[in-house]
Amino acid sequence: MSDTRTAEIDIPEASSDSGLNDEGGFFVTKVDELINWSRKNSLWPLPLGLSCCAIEFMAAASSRFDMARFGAEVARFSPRQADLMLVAGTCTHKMATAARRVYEQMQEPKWVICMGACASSGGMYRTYSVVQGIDTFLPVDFYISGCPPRPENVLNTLMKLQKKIETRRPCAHEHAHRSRRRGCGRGAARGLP
Amino acid sequence: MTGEPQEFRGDWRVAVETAAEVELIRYARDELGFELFVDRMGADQGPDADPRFDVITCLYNLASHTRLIVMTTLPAARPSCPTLIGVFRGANWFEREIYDMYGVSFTGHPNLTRILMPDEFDAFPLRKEYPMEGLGAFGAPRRALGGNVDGTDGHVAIPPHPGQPGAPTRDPLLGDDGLLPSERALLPDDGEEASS
Amino acid sequence: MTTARALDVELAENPNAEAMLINMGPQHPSTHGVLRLILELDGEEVVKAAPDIGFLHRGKEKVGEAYSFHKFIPYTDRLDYLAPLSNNVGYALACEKLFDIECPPRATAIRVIAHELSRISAHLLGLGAYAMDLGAMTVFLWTFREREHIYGLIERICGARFTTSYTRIGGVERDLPADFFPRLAAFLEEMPRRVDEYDAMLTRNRIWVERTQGVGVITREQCLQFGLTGPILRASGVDHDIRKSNPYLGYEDYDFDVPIGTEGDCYDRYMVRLEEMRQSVRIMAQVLAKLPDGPVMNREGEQVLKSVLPEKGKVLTNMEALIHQFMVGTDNAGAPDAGEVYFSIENPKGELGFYLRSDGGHAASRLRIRGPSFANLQILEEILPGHMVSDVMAILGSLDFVMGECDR
Repeated sequence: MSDTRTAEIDIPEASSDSGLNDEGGFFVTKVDELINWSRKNSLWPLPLGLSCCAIEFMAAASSRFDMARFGAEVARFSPRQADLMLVAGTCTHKMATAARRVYEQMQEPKWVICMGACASSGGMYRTYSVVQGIDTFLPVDFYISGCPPRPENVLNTLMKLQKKIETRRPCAHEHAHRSRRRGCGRGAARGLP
Repeated sequence: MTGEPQEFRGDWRVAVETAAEVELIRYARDELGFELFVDRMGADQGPDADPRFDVITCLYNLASHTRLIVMTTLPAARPSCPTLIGVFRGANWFEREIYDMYGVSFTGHPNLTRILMPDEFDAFPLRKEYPMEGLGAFGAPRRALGGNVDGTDGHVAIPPHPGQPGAPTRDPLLGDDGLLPSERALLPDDGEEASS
Repeated sequence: MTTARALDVELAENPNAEAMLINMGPQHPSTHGVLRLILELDGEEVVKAAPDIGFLHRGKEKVGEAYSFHKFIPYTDRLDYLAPLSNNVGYALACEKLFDIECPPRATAIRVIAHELSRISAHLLGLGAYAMDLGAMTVFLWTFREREHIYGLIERICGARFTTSYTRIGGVERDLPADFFPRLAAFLEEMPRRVDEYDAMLTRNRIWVERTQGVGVITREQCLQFGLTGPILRASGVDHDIRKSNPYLGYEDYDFDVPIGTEGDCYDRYMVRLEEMRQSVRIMAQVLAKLPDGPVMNREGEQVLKSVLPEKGKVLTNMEALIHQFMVGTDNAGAPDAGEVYFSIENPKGELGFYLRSDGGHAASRLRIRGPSFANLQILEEILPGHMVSDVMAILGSLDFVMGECDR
């Protein structure tokens, strides 16, 4: 089976004379914090609304639960303009190719949240047409359980993602490494980008 | 040979021979007033039954508010039925679905291709012998942490897209004989006569 | 992914070198789910359209052949996932027709409330998403505010906002709580005013009228040929509503009107749905006024007991009830040895039909779901050509389909 991943990119080795040491220093840390703060408060979701969970996503974005409070109101359906892909619903084999293609068009930094039981593991559909979890072909940062998850759950996960973003170090020389080792699903363990 | 129409809990049902089905439905639409096309579905009675497949059409009469269910049965080997598109244009997708799920061909259909399953799929899932969990690449394997016992890990392989290295230059689904996998699955086995 | 084969043939023979082939979906804000449209365009005008569906095909009919009739109820929630209670009701009615079981009067009335509440909910979302696609974002936020009220009501009925699995074969899962009735009454009081607000926003709005009147005209002949049902059929002038023509759940006792359109265009479909919401409120007010007392599950008679799940409270404490639950839930103990029925209801999107065939086994021998959106989407191939690309959004929104019941 030919290599189905995208082309391997050389990750540069850490260099001691890169001008930035491991701790980063006070100035770099503050810049990190600024970048992280602005990223986490302006996550633009790409709702890959596949089925029922998409309706709860819409409820989370509406006035009662209001995702806009977190800066995530701007649901951009073009992958070029979004940085958070929210896979909401059952992913079938037919849809998987399209989902992967959409993910690859997103630019770094990007995160994937798996919303609902179907996206996380196939859910109640152990059938011939349903992919048993999107982490078989996408690296996932968070899984939201529920069928469908309540909008509060979606917002909770968004807040957890914001905490995760706070731990990034965009200025440090390890940036290239960290952006590769993302997610906690199978995809990340296999080294999928 | 057409069976007698029977009434069962408010619906009228009639069983008809495959060759006479289209004519009967045309008669029902034009003369008896069953003008609304409701459904066309397939059913499988099991791999041991012969005739094996059913094709069931539902029509509705707007004036008398009654339903008519027309049933015809098809043999297990190379099941084929004339298309209803000439009588009801809406039968198009319904027949494609029956083809997709059961492998029943509809002679005269302008575009008999898969509709619900992707074109790479080469089996007929609603047949009784096909397992619900699927087979092969479309199987729904158990995904144990650390990998399954049989060495698989549930990874779904997405083929490279156009523009990526390794992407095919011609349509990868069409084999050397120019057929889609589902069409190849419907070919008769070696040694039998090929049907038209 | 391959393009539709039919289009390949056309393009090869088409001398029009200006034609552009674009792909809309399956990930697109206006396709209301995972629908893929392959459009051949001549500038802005659609020359040919080929819908590609199946991106949400989850194999429900196969699941229906593996799991018992009772276990299949949660799968019906996810068919038309904008109106889960309605699908539950339709499926339970079809099973009761097959098993030949009656439902007690109180459960029947509760089912009417569930059916109409989900009709309003589905139409609200259809309207909101439709308006948002055409640029009227406000209507989307307003309709979702109403939907949150409905979700609150549904949560009081069965505990879940959304995927309810509320009905059972032989009745409904639990009775309505006492605090449900004043809340429903308050909702019914407020809802007509809200519908009037949407009316005021859109019906005589110049932009809305220009974008929807005369667009996507579907004739009576096309409706009958393609099996289009529901608001689409009624907007094209055909007076057919299953609640009136083949009444179920006691609809013959309720007083309501069925809105019928004249032109069959997008505007008429919008008006039909708007008016249906008002009529649903009217029906629910009548049900609320004369809700009968009594049990909500039919547990009378030995034959019935073989087919109906026992009380959950007893199942968890009583051994016989636990065994009974297993026999009925897993083995389909009461299913007839041979029988097939077709039963359909007037779902918000059209005629949702269930064709059930039983051979006495532990699961149905054939469980066919006739999803209205599957039939409704077919008309796209015929009506899209000749329209502009922006009309495509108006037509898709007005057809108000949902892929869950199209692909199943």
